[in-house]
Amino acid sequence: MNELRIALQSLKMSVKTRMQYRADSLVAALAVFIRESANIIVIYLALLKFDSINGWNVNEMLFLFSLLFLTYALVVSLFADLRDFSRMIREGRFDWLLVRPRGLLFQLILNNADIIASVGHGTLGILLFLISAGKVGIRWDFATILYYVGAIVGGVLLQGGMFIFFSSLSFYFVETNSLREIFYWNMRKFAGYPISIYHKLIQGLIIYVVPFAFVNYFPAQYLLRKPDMAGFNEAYIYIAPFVGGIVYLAAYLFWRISVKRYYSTGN
Amino acid sequence: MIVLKDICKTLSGREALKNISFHIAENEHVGIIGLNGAGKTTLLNTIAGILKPDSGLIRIFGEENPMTEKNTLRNLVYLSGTRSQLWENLKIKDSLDHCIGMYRLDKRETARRLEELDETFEIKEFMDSAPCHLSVGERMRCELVYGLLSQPKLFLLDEVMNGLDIFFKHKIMEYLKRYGKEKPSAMLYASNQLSEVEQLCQRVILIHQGSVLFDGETAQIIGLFSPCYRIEVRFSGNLPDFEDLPLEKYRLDGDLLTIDYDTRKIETVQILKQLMEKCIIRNIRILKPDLAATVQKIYGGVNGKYN
Repeated sequence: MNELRIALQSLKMSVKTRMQYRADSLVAALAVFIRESANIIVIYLALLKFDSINGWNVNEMLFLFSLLFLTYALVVSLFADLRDFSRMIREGRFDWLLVRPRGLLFQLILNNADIIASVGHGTLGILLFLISAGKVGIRWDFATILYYVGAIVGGVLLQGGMFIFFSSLSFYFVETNSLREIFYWNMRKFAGYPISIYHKLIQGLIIYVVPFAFVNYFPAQYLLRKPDMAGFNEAYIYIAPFVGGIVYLAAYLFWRISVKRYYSTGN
Repeated sequence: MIVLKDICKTLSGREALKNISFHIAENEHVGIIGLNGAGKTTLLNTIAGILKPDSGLIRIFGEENPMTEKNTLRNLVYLSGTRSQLWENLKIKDSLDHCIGMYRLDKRETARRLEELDETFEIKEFMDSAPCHLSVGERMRCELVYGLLSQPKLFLLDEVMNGLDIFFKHKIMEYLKRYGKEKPSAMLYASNQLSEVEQLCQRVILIHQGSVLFDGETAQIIGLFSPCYRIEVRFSGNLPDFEDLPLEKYRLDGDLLTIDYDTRKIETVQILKQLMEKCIIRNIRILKPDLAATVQKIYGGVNGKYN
């Protein structure tokens, strides 16, 4: 229970840190919200012309997006230090975690929550969900709600796992941001659309290499059952909530091996 | 309490630590001294478990591989004058609260301890400020309280008197000495301020280019490397004749006579006797070398400074 207490305390401290400059933080959160919304509005306007993409109408597309934003909001409130990990190492702040009597990932996950990004993305995610969820024909019974929650948790673990993976690379290479830029952020852009519209190669990337498809496409398919699912293995939509756990575990093991290198090089 | 055996560490092609071995017993305060880049901080990092040695053995509280032992870490504090553990943008009291959680401390007990620490460190007035609004010395006092809150058994202190004024320096020094007497604890104190080391540590380890150059009592290192004492005397009357005494050298400057001598060759009394017989002494000072002078001498500074 001590773990839970310290988790809450750390969250409180993160909020306090950002609230030092209350107006600044609110403006920053608003800026994130507007920036992300602008992308969505552009896509929304474009979609009005097309009516549908591979059988997905506008509301279904927004539902697909909402999963990305909601999971990301939770990811940045948990994994912010891992997102900015190479900077943390450069500034020597990582050393202090090593001399404290707690697990390293435990400290990293708790230490810092990017409340600003979290609020920005989270608000948009909730908004998109509220706009679309009632219009896409999902029957919200116990099973679908359970699946939905599982998918969100899985999506958070999956992206958290990726951040842990990229952070682990910092123990081998000085500069890892560009790698993450290519694999995480670009793939995330692809994941905004139904992946059936892409070339097989990109589909392969987004299912097996940087498995964003399990964050939003397959979970959305479980709930929406669009015909383009025929191009993929049906099993994917059932395992989607668990892929996150597996990725997280694999990333965790990779972290454990990699962090040993830090002890021997010290930078 | 701490055992190091044949510790070697190469960092970016440079041999940072070479076959370092020593034992530190409970209640020992050990000064770690050496020139810039000698390996002081690397040594502390290695003991703290931030760096893993390439070879050799470290044992802390009887535990090998201390870096993976949470129990070891709970009893260890590593403070540095150059890096801050406090939360930069948060009030000091929030940082201390965080420490309570991190080290699983008892809240009520810690509040009592904080009162006690406040007598020495006087940080109560900063509780509602963030470190970025404090002076270097004030911040350092908070930093020390943060470290002392968990009642560690092993202190690794690296230039922790940074920015402290002489009053606080003195008070904190006294506190650390007392702490060592009251609780079973060991301390490694790395500093370039040799007068601090001299006051606080009965033992010093002198590191040079990653190796231990000297390890022993502070008094011993001074005696060993700079046995020269100095007498400064203002006199009137004739200059006495020192030809028959085995002095290192003497110099006359107006009415001020300066005599350097080696205590292994001649006793102070003999010189005083000679002086009192031959002239009228108006004022006299006997200076013994300090650690700073000794270290300067070791590194080839010709005439050590005297205080």
